[in-house]
Amino acid sequence: MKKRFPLHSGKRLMFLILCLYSFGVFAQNVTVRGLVSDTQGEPLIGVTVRIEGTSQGTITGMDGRYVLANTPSDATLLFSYVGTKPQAVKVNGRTTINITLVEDVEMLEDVVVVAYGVQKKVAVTGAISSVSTDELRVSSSASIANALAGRVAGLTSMQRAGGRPGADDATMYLRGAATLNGVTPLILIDGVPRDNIRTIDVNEVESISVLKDASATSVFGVRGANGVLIITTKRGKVGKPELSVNVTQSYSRLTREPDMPGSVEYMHLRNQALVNDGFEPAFTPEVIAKFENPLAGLDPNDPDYEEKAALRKWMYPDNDWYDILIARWSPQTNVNANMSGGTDKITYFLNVGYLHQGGNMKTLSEDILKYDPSFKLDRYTFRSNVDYNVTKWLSAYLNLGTYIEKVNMPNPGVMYGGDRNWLVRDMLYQAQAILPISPGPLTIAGFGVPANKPLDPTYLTSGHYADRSPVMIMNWYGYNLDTRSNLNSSFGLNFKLDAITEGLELRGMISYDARGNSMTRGNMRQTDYQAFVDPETDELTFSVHELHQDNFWMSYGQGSRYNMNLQGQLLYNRAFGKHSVAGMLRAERDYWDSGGAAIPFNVLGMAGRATYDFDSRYFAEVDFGYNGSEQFAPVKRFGFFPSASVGWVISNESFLLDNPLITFLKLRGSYGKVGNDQQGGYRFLYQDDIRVGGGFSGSLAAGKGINEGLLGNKVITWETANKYNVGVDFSIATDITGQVDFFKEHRSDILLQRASIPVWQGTPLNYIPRVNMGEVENRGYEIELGYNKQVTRDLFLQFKGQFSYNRNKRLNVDEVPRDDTYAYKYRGTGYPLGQNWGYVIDWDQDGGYWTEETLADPDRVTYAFGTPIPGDFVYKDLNGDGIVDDKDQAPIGVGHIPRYSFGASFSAHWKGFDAYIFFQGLAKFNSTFAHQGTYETVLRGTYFPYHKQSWTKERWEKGEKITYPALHSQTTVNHRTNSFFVFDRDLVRLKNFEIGYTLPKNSLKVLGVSDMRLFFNGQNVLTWSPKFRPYHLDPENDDSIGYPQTTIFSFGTNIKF
Amino acid sequence: MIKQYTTPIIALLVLVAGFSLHSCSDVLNQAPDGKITLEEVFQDDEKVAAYLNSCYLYIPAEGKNYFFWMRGPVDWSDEAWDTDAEAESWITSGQLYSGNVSASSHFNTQWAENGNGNYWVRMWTAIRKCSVFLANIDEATVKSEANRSRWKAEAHLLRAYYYSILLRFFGCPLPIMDEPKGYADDFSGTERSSYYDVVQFIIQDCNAALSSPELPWRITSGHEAYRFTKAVAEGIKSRMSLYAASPLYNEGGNYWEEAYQVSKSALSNLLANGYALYDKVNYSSWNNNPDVHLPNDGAKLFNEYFCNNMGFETNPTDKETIYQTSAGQDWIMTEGIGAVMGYKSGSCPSQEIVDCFETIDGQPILDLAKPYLDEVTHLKPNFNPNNTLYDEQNPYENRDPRFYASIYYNGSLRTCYWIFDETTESVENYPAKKGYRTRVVATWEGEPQTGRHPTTRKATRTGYFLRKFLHPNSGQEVVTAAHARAKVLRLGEVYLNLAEAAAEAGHTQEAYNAVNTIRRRVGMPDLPQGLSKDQLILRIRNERRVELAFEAHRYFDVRRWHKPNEDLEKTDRWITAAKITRNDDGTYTYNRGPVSRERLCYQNKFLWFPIPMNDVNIMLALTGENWQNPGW
Repeated sequence: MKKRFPLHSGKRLMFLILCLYSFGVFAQNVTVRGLVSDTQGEPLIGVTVRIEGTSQGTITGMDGRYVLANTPSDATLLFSYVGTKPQAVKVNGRTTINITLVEDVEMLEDVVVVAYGVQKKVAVTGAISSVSTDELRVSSSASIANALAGRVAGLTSMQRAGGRPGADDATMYLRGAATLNGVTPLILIDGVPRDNIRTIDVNEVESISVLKDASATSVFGVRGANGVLIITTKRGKVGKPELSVNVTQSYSRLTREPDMPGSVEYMHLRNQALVNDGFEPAFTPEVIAKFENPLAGLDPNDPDYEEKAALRKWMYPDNDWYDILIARWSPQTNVNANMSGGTDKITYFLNVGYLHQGGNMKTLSEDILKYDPSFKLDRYTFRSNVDYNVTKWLSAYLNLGTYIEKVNMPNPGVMYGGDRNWLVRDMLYQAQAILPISPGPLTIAGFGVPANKPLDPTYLTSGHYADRSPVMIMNWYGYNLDTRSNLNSSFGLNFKLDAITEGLELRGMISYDARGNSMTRGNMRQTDYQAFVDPETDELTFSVHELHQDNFWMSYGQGSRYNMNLQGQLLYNRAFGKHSVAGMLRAERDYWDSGGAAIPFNVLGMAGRATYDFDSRYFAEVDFGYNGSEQFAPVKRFGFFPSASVGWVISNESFLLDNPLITFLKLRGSYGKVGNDQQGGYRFLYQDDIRVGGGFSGSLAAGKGINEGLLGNKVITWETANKYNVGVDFSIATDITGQVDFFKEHRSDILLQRASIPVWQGTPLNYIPRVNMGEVENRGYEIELGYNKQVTRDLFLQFKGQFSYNRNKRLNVDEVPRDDTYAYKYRGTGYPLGQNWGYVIDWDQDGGYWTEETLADPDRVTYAFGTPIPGDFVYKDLNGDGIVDDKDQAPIGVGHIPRYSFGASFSAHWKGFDAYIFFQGLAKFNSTFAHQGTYETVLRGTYFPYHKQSWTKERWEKGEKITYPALHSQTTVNHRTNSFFVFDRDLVRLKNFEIGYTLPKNSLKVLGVSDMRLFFNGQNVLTWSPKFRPYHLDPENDDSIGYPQTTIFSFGTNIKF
Repeated sequence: MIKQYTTPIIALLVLVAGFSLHSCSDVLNQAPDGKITLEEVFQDDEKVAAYLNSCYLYIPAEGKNYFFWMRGPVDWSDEAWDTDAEAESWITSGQLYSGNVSASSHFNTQWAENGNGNYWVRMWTAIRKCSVFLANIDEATVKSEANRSRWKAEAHLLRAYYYSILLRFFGCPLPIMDEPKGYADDFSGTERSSYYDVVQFIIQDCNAALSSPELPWRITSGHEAYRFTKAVAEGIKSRMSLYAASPLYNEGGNYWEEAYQVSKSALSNLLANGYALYDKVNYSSWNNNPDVHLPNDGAKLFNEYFCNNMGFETNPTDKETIYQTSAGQDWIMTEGIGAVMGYKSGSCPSQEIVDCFETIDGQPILDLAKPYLDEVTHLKPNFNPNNTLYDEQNPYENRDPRFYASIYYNGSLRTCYWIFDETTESVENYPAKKGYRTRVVATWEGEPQTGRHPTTRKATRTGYFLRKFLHPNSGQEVVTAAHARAKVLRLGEVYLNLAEAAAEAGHTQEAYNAVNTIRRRVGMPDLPQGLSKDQLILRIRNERRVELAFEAHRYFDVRRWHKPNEDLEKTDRWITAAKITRNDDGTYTYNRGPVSRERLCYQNKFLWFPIPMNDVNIMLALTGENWQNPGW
């Protein structure tokens, strides 16, 4: 809503005045001037003033004034402006015409992108939300999918997998989840299903629409049940060329970092854990004393004192390996230039962008290594969208969008399967697990080994455990450069067939996407060393840990894939008095190659829509999709997915027409069926998967064997979602807008693996045919609220908020009930997706922990899986049989899909200054984090802040706060999945803030700059997660040792020429 | 007006029709990708063979390939302590020692590798495949009737082998599946079988295999390596009939005579068909090689037998091995003192197994009827008063040659590439640099390289390291020698099966003969004549413990010998270590002590693995009966 003060005046329309030369056509031409203002008397900037019947016109300037020369004195002037009712004024010989434009509530948000087209907002009867890219531009995320988090009602976007450069894909849930299979929404970029949302440049994007209910998505048929995201890229507009340049420089660090214990604290904690397990302490008081005072026994008068002291400190260090391995502020640069404009014949939008993202691991410099293993991403994006009006009835367009992305990182070739994520996990894991008492990371001179060579600090971490050292992984094994390139291209023709019947149009489009990826890998094997410090003699010895010839060799790999999409569409749109009708019929074919060793995919479909609008009061719409997917057997191949919806704009009824309070009110309702053909990566499930493969002995069938895989189900079909939606759109006075939706979905025929068949019949359960048996119910609501207020001429305030809730329940998962001795008969049926099960800690019994007294009670419950010691968790014996075992497991938490998702932004503009702040949150979701990153038992003990206040007898007796059970050196009864380790991940973030200043226009005119703005912003600035116990982790990340989220601060400028 | 539109409209309509509607069904038909049907399999000679070939794929590798290079049942018995129990406590041994297992969360279903683990699913899958093959083979298209006969025999035998694995781990809540079941069949009437009946079914399958003239006694070409033979059938019959007769499984029946007959005929058939004990030193790595540090030929031949793969030829060096699994056993660097790369010790032999090796005069060290005065904690050995050679403070002198071939102990020598420089604390070995050299394996408390340590992965927990499977040439800087593949059936076991069954059935002299044959080959004296039946059985059981040490028998043996009124407390609860103090004068003081904590896996439920919880629930719902093993 920048209608009065278009700060980013990207949408400003500029018509070329073509007819300035048309002297003499009319005898009596005059120059008309005037002021255009709104109902409050404020001048309106950018109002189009046009002479009816010509293309001659102008727009109002910064002061709301216009000048229109050569205007026939009998002409009619047309004034139009976004969000107001257009006015036509006869000149009648006047030379000054001042007018006031009246707001048109119906036009507030002009149009909305819907499936395969646009609709006026007022006519939309489905549940659709959209987001402007101006808002997303504040985000420093390299991916739009992540920038969407919290900004769209009903859409939950999470960085579950973390933020490694080049692998920061978002997990998206639209209205939660309603299936055991894929929940990913369908994403269309310019009308074509495409998967490059991660890489698209936000500056290329005009709008993002989120289609939620059946009415909005049934045209997508078997692909629409999880909802649809429609990304529309920018197009040129008639007007003089406008060049816009944006430059941003950012610095990022990890959102959360564990505060690891120092050497002395570590040794005490470790000793405590060992003693609890009945072992001898690992560190004697003498050794601890060495670390407490490494310089003890040195003579300060010794001439070599400094040198010796330095050595002692090196031998008895207090290393913070997190600090040694993790970079605190790594740079990110974003540069973008785009240009748009055009004439009546041709319009164009051109964009070029460059993104550089640095990683948050401290790698050694290229000077030392001779190659660069650092984590970084460089992405170049280009786009050219050109429209060409061939004739009055034929237009053509060509969209070309490409990117080249280079992702550099250390060589993952040493990891299992060369897994890139594993490499990151291993590094973070080791950064936590290397002991503060371990010297390193490089060798030092004077001990018979070369200086500054890699030293393996895990030697002390894990005893004689020859695992990979993070210093080695990060630096000394070489580097890996992945290059990906992608072309999205679409060519289309639009025929206006008004000659056949008015309002008829035919469109055709062919799209071709191609992707290539290549890998360049420098492999290195480097000798590394181990240090051995003898605290008794203060002797330091080095030995070779792994001996290698320092040879370096290269390896390469590459792959490619494509995607073809063909579509044809017939449109009809016409008004007859108070009746408006519109219709759409389309056919589409998609085929693509997934890039893996798989047969290309094929999808075929038709879709249609008919809408009816009576007097802008009553609306009705019918949609259908008819798709066929090769995934299904011929008898079950095509599915028909209809939907219907109605809308009633009550505020256009006479009794509300001039109501000053309720300025807009619409009721909507929809019902329909949509399908989902995501089948968990399986294909052709209707066929038995029996193949000739490898066997056991070369002497039988020349070494061949018969692999019996998944058996086929001849009648396999898609999931069907029955969706209901009711909604209200409203405006109160002129400041407040809102939208509320309630939905309910019943998903049936969900493909699942049978769970009621015994194993011993011999066909492995995962090879028993998948069946369409599952049923899930999902319901919830969404609220969007907006507030816009021009407080004074200089001060503009805005609020936008959204709040969404979803809740699913599995109704049938083919589960066999447990017998009556179980506390709970079912573990899936009746519970939400991802429900955690575990032991329930009895927090009421001595705070949840055993004590010597309670353990001595002969009538106490026993554990079927071990024996507790004082300070271990007390679990509830839910079935009352005296033994805590499987039968006592209970549902803990509410599953891993956030039930609540919300966001709220506030912005203010005052003169040249603007400020923006955005909070985002997720609530009601739980996950288990086990072992690395959360347990204290890892390797030789990892102690995070919550371990430091573990249960001890002293702490218990003194009544001190206890945040963790008794420490152990091994996994024990405490480490069973339980209500402590099923963590509550509620979080609220100060996701973004931005402060900007737009320079006065006059100051820059000499440079040819029309607009210049400077800004400073931040992302993930603060995170609150009060109930999340492992506070050292980012609650959004599913992996306790995955690459975390980053906090980013940026400054930059937008310049328009 | 209309006219000017016509051409483009028609063009577009054709285009639309062309790419969308034309031959709808064709574009959605799947391109051929090599899938076939089961019917097609049995209509083609080569595919029939291929199906059988797949039936073989389920044989567990055993040996040290259980999970994360560990020895499974060896570490779960009183033979050894697994160093991963502390270092990687969430996997197999760690879970078991802390009793931290349940029907829904058990290492056997969580950690599987090389076919070891997840037996409940794996074996039933394998059994079904064999049954499918057997149901189809008679009518299948097979070019050679000789092949048909041999393949059928192999499928019978594979099914018998897979059933035997299920029986060993799960006891007997098993149905007999003689015909393949469909997943959609009605299972509500399914009945459990008795242990004896399942063993009879196994023996039937073995007999079916033996009746085929085409199934060979021995694989004589490398091309056919690791395929089953008649010898395998005899081995399975001998083992499983012994199990069926044992106290835990006989359900009050006396099947010893039957077991005796089966093993007797198995042994004579095996001997008649070229199988023989490995009875001499054959390889130069052992023969006249001072670096093997073994005292006599008995020790050398015993060590080299386990360190070399069997050959597939008409007259192989190793005629003892009946079946050796095909899976590689990985590099020795991952286990024991051969862990020259510093990985882990793995199975550390217990003081209990060390106590079993007699002195060279054939006297047991302990009273076999009551080896420890404190029967559970094992800290007070009940010495055999007739043993005059054993010296508690010089315990490794004068022992059974197999002791030296099986165990590294304090003071033993090993020549290999040692990857560390000696420090002053390593008194016996200092000074010495990293490199190829002879080192005293010192295991006293505080020895920095090979001393006992409670948690370090590479250290010993018990004061001993495993030697039995360790090739002396494995100690190169760049490790090239792999462990020999696991010998899962060998003639030595059949002798001992026979000895036990014969003794139990009252065929005393045959029992003596069998057990003495085993003793003579390593140079141990015969058992004294005139032992009572109970005494003889104790000696045979001890012989079995020594001869088959670390070959994954003990875990099953203590179970099948289990008496109903006891639990596994005497064997599986406390495992002791040699706690050796090095005195200032260079002598050692030998004490015994617990390795660390008690193992919490000695209750009766640990006789068997639990059946995975889901299957139990399903069977309960289908049949109304609880199929779970007792205690789970």
